[in-house]
Amino acid sequence: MGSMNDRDAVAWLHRRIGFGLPADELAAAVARGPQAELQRLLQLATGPAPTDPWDDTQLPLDPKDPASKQYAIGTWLESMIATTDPLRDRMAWIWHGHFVSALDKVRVAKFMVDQIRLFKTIGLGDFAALLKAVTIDPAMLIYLDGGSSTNKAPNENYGREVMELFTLGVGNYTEDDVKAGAKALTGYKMRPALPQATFIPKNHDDDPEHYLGIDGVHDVDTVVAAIIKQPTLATFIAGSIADEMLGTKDPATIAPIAQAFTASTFNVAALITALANAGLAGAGQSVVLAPVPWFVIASRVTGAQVPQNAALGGLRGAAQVPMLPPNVAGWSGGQAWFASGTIVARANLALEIANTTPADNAAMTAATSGDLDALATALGLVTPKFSAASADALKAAKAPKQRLALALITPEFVVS
Amino acid sequence: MINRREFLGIIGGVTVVSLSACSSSLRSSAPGSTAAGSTGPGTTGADSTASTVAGTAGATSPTSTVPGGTVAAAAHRRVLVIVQLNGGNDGLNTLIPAAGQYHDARPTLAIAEADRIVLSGRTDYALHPSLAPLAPLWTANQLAFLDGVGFPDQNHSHFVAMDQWWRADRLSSAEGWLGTYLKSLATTDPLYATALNSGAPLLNNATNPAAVVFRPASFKFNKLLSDDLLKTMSAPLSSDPLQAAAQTALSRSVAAVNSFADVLSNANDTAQPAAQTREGGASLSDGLATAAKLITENPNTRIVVVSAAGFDTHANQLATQADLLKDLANGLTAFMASIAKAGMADDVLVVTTSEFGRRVAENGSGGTDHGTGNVSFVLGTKIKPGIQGDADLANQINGDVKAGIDPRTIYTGCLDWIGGDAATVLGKRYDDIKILV
Repeated sequence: MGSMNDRDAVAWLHRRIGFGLPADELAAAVARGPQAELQRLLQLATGPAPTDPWDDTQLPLDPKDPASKQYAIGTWLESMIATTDPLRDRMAWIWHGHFVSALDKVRVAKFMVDQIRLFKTIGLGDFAALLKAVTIDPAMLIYLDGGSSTNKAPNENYGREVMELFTLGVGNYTEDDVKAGAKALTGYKMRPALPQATFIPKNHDDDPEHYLGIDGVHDVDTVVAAIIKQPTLATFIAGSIADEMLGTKDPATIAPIAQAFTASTFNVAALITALANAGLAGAGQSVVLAPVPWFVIASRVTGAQVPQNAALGGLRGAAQVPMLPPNVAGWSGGQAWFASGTIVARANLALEIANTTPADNAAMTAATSGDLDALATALGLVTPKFSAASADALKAAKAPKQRLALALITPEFVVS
Repeated sequence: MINRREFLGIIGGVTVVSLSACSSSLRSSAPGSTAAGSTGPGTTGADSTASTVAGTAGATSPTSTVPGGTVAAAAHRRVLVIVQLNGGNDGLNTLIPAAGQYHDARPTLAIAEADRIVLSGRTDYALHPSLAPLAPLWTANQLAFLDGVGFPDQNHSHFVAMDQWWRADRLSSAEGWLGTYLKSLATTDPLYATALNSGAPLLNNATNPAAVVFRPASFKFNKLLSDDLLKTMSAPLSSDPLQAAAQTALSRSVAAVNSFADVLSNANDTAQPAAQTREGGASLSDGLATAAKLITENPNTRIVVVSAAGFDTHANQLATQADLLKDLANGLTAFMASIAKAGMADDVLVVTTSEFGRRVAENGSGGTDHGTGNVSFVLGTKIKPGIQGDADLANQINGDVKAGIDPRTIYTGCLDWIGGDAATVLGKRYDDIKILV
């Protein structure tokens, strides 16, 4: 990978930190060059947000309204496919799998949408600001019970997971820290039936706590400040994002990325810059595309418009529906996506994509002519070539749509 | 756009209240608690065809030949079923101690004595009312309980706890404890070990990977993706280890799909699983119904893991746990009846697991936080009956039930049951208690 040419480097960038590009847009990006393209993606993602895809009038504050749930999830999925600001949207997707909340407990679709909006708005900025916003975000207050945690009965759910899963990792805090943090975060009130989160001073325990080695911690600001001071924070966050984008948590690979993150006073864009440059220089391993990013990339490179019901049904079958992660750790990722149930659903969904791919799409044209190198290139593969096994299967396919569907489930497309 | 009802079917009925959020299953598991099948056009037609065929086959030939043998040949094999209650089931409200500390610690969550299900012969413990269907199995000595189950040195993390459980505390191992056993076998039938509802890392191994079936009705490839094409893509293996793993998984999936289709078409009960009634993925009842079909129809299925999420009841526990335990009790009762009907009652051992119990004292949200010692159920005709271990509320450890039974004692019994070598798989045998007669 150290010797990637400009075309492959740009394809790598878009697969790993974006959502892939159709052939004509990829060619334009290649003409700009990898560094210019990385800077362009970063500028877009840290500049003014594009038009918000959701219409709030379709998001009533009603936990029992199924239409709003469909609308929230479907609109997000479609906006990822249509994005012109792919790093911003890929990062929002990654934060969704990191700072996990799930619609099945949050119940009000609007609150989940607002949390995703948070990721899209400040997801590449100051990590401390993001952590504070997430901590008192209405969906998070519901999901991890911060909204029912009072001085009389602190709830440890968020207090534990904020350190274990969101910032520091197991082994970098004590049980006393869990209890102290839970106390300091008491007083917020939020339930699915409420219109917004409120802070009730009389429900808050303002006593100074000893938390993560720091005295005087008593509220959300001091909790966030204490976490930010922890020496393991940068490594943990860099490792978590590198696992998604570089396919590795190797300490030697992570260290310089974590260093850049620390040097920037925890600016996420600085972390991504260091990570992307490491990747372009050859760091990292293969990555298994999870069903959602796989579907988004496949839809973008083919120009397919799979009907929403088939898309969400297929993703459900593959075990990954946006806004419905299985637990607070998010989706497992990696080889867990080789579970036979996921393989079957992904294959069937690939056929839906092929069925709705326009005839003039470059990938469909190549699938029709049987030119497999052209097909690999049009699909945006980093190394635009199929293996002998994949090529044999693709040659044996009888119809162009069948060939395109198979190409979308080749190891080269799913894993790279 | 699609209509509302159709969408709910697609994403799993998100209107129903559930409280599984903290961390209701395991980080290392395969994806799955929101999993269920595709209802896309590619599979709908095939579904109806399959059930027609299956209905015919079931009516005319209930003991027809299945791949690899016949139903009759299945009579003398040993089958292990693990039921995973992901999230940390509250053992104290499951197998309820008569101790006064129980009431004191749980002013709103304690189950009233009048509502508890009596376990004949016992005055020190009783069952949650939702578990009433299981009482006859207790009376028949086909249901036993282990109390205070848990690894030493727990830290209340779901993920650390689940890692300990699925690896049998061999924390550097990439294999699950049953995966290590599976690896020791010659190449197995694709359904030899099968995970239902969600993935099951305890089965992880590179040699004989388990089939993972989220939803039986959609476990089939569209006919345009023929076996030949998919198998062609599976070999020769790529030099990239992840791509090679994808290829291996693909060929194994093709085999599992075909074998599974044969099982379903041979099963008498061809009813599709009932619509989901709660969040957190497929129900235990559905999963156990499929497990019964697999075991009675495929003589090569020896290990089945059925999982369900939602047991992480930090808030509003009473209603949530009542629903979950009802699902568990109904599922287990129907499963045991199906197995007995097929003449296989003596061949099957069922064990329930959950990553930890919950704190003795309730929290302020009508729920309970993460604890340690927990309750496991053991079911079968060859089990040691009664209650082993205890929830000693007079001697709590920092507000938790003491973990007095190492889960590896359960694993030792399970491995003995299926003919595995516990000393090899677990590093040594754990014989503090016996779960088998």
